[in-house]
Amino acid sequence: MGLDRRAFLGLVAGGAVGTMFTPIPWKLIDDAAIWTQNWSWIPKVPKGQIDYVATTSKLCPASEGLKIMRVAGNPVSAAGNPDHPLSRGGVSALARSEVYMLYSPARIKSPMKRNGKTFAPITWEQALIEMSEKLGAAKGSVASISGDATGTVNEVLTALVGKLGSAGAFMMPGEATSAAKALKLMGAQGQAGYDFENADTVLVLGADIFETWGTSTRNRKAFGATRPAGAKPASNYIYVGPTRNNTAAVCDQWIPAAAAELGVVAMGIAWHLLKAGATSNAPGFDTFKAVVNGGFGPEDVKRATGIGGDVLAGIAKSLMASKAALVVTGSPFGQGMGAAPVIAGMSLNMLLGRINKPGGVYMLPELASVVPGALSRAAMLDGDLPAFLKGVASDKTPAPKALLVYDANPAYGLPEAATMAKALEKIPFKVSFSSFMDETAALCDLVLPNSLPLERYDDVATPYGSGFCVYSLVRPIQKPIYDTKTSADVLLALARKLSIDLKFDNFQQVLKEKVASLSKASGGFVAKDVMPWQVAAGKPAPALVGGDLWKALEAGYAWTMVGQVAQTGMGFAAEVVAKAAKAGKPAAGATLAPYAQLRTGTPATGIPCQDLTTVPDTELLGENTLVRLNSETAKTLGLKKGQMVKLSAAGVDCQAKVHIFESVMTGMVSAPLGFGHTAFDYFSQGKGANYLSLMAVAEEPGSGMSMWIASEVKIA
Amino acid sequence: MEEKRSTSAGGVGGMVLCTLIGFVGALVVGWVIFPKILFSEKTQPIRFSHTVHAQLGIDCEQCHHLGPDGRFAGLPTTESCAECHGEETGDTSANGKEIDKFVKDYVKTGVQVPWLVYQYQPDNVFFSHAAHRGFECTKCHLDVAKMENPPAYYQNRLSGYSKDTMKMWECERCHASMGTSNACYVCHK
Amino acid sequence: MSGQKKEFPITWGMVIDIDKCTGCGACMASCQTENNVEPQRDASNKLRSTSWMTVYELTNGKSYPDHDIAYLPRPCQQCGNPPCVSVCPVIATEKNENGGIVSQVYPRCIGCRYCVAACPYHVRYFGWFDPVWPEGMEKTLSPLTSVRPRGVVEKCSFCHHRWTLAKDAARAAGKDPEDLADGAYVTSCVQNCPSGALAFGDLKNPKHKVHELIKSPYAYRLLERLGTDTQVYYISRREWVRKLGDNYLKSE
Repeated sequence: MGLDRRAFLGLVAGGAVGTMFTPIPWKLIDDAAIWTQNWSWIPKVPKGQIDYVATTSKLCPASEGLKIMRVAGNPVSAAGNPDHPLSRGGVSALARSEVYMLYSPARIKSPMKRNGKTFAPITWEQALIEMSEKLGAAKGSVASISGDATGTVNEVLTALVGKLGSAGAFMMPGEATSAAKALKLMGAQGQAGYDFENADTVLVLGADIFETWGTSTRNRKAFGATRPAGAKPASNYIYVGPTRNNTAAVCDQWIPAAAAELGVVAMGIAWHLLKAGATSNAPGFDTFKAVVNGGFGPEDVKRATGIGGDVLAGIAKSLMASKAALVVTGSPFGQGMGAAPVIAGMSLNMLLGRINKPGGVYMLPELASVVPGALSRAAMLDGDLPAFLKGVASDKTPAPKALLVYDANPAYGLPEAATMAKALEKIPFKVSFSSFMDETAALCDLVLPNSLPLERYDDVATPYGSGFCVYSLVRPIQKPIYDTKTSADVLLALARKLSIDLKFDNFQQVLKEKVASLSKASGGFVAKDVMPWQVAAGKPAPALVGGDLWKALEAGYAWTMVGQVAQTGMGFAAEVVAKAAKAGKPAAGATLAPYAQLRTGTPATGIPCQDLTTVPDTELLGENTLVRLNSETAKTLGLKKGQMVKLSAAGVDCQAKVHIFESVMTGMVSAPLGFGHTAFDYFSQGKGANYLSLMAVAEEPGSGMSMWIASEVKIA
Repeated sequence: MEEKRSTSAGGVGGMVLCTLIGFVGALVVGWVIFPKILFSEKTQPIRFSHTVHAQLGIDCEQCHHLGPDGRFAGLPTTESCAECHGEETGDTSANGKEIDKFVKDYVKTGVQVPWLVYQYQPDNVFFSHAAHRGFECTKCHLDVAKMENPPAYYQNRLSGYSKDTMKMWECERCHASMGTSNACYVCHK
Repeated sequence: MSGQKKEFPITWGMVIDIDKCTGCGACMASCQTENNVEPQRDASNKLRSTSWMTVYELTNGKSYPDHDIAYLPRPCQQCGNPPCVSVCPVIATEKNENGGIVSQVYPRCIGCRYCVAACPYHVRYFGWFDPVWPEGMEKTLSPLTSVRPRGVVEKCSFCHHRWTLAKDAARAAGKDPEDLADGAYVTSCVQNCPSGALAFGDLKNPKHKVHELIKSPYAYRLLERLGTDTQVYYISRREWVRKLGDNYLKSE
């Protein structure tokens, strides 16, 4: 039977019509449409149960408590923990990055050993053997640098280095360094804590309190609480500094002053306070009075700073008229301040009677240390790292035989980068305990990756700036993603290998002991319904409810204590200020006024990848960072908007694009820090210049400590 | 012409017949063969028997429950299954072997079972179980409680979704009949 | 257009106190990760990067030392009369749900970008590239927001998924999901702002703080003269800041 044409057409037609009555065309069209929505290279979102667990941010210096959202046990995002006194629900752009930094391309995935110019992966066992041999040979000359300002890991590190024969156990310099030195020179005890929550008039000398200075998230929460939206503010914030920075942008008043002259400004205000009858019983008051009246009258100050006497008189008046005045002094870029301006600022607090008062400055006790032989925080802060490294670079100080670098990036995060790199080169054996491949790790002989805070046990004890003692726990929320270990555990294992007794086998034991010591401290309580500043203001402190403090800390609550070290002989130390606070010579080119922001990370973190989007194009454009100067300065220097220039100082050149920005003092060039990385990943590398390298380190007269608050730069 | 006509399948009648064959053939291809090509059949990684568990008196909500914050917990985790099946039984029955396989492969290794979920919606759909609590589960889900073995999972080769994934028009029709809003963001994210 | 304006019993709104914003970028960072926006290598190219929430720098235009600055965080303004909705040829964006949040459905969007052109607030972003996460980082994606391929337009949704979560929580607690307590639903940026510059709630609900805040004499909206009737309010005690919120003639 043949199939003729007509029959064939009939078959096709029948088939075609039949197909219309099947799902084939409709289903194919629909599925094809869905297919175009699901490209294989577009990631699917994870599925699973959502839960929230608490920890504390360790990457962010503001030490906020965090609530981590997890999906099927995997951390997904970090938010502020409303129950934590340093967060109250707020979070910085840096703390927000804790989760995705787990997968940062800059992470070091296993222990590594230098092999010529590159690194080769090794096992932890090999690393320990290597390290114990080299450190055993270097006994008597081992130094350490820690970038962790708040952790008990410092006790393990300094105890180990101490028992190996310390050549110096240093902390990366920051605001706490200047403050500690200032208090020491004033004969005071404790760590300065600032009670923003109860203050009503706050004079901020230089410190970028809402961005980089101290507990910045908590500071902002305290500020915000006194500023009901759309209503009259219940607080008065005055900012004195070279630029209208993030802090000054929301302050009630900005008074332009060079960073180097903040001490002069403080003394100028003291003159008005003294004139209005302020007095003090503290030692050295007479000298202080003589120093102020001798060189810091309205005319002197105007000559030095350009600030009129009426302005300073106005500040003095509002400070005296307020119930709870507070003076905060710090560096506009978080480091290099020197001690004298802090002393001068603290003197104002003394004149106003604000020491150990609600809304004033509390001299907070240091929490008891638990590792035998460890250095106290005060002792660590007393070390002068830039001076030490400068000495090593110029052969004035013998180079240590070995250096342990923990969570720090001195090759990038110190001033005069060229000198510091030279010093590091002279140290024959260097170990980096960094989580990321930073500039310092790239110089080291051994790189032993630290697990990230979300993968390890750690702690935060009273960050500088906090108005109360506070302790919170960092706990592992997920298993280490790569072959990393908690560095403190590695250090303890190393100690065992070197037959050094540090009393503990692992870091969790150390932390448990630390927490146990807290539960014995009188006056401590878990901040839940009552917050420490309420206790400072007079509310009775709740008792530390029996039960398990460790458990409460793991649940994200903070242990706090409102208390102060009784002061014996805290004085004015005016002789230091007299030597240091002098009007500088006007710069021939321009004065560099750097500023730092948490969104560009810290030297130890690099730029968190998600935060790059938050950087405006007036700060970073393509591969160039922009520096800010006002139109008058630009005119004097012959610079135009958008022009590429070279900034030179301290034997270093930095490229920059000119951005005309009027909220910068005349004669100043304001430059963002946190850029110009040569290490890390493609989110940090090749983005602008590191202007910190232009800052020259000088010895502060009077205190003898290193300072780099201002640097003259040539712009061409 | 004459000859040809005589040998052909029968003129107009033949054409009609072929048309009919084509029509029916297309229907068979479209309704029977096409789905077999379009969907790939997959079996669950563990032959979980809902009936056995239901017969033990375990409520659906004991494993598939709404959290206190209203979020549907979905499938139980390996850990929650391990509350009962924490150790290998050594039982050589078919069910016993399956339990031991689960314990060995998932409980001991601490990984989640990659269950094939018949109803998973695309990423851009936000389905709230809390909002649909008034309905019987079986209104949308397969009545697995009555099934001895988990039914086969059919995956659409083109779209990648399960055959049982509810389509948007089904959601919309029910919303419309209930007088519930059909605005995009009611369901989409 | 105003004739078609829909009224909803609930009107979600944001109130941003510009005088409290330090410009730190925590809101932007919070938004990025909450809503699965990929980390962008060259984020300095603002024409090609995506940032549903953007902080703008405002200045009073004067020279030093009379210069002043302010920071203006800008989410989608969720207009009452959204110019983007009427131009969409495929109804990928609509304002149709109680709450008044302007929706954006990615699979439906054909990428014509009419809405991008129509939006006077520049809140809409076109995906020029497929999103790429560094290896492993896709594990940190939020399940609450879908991931967009290139070629579609995306924008701030007031973290709409959080509203759904809040409603579910209310249902589980036996409360009315249509009458949420103040603070039960807030966006990610509002939740995380360290300065407390951002507030969120139902503008029509007298029990919500924002209901009072928008009555402040210092409250204003952006480009009010366009008649977009936005659901985002700004507050500043500084007159120059408020004046920058709209276009004024020299004589005004």
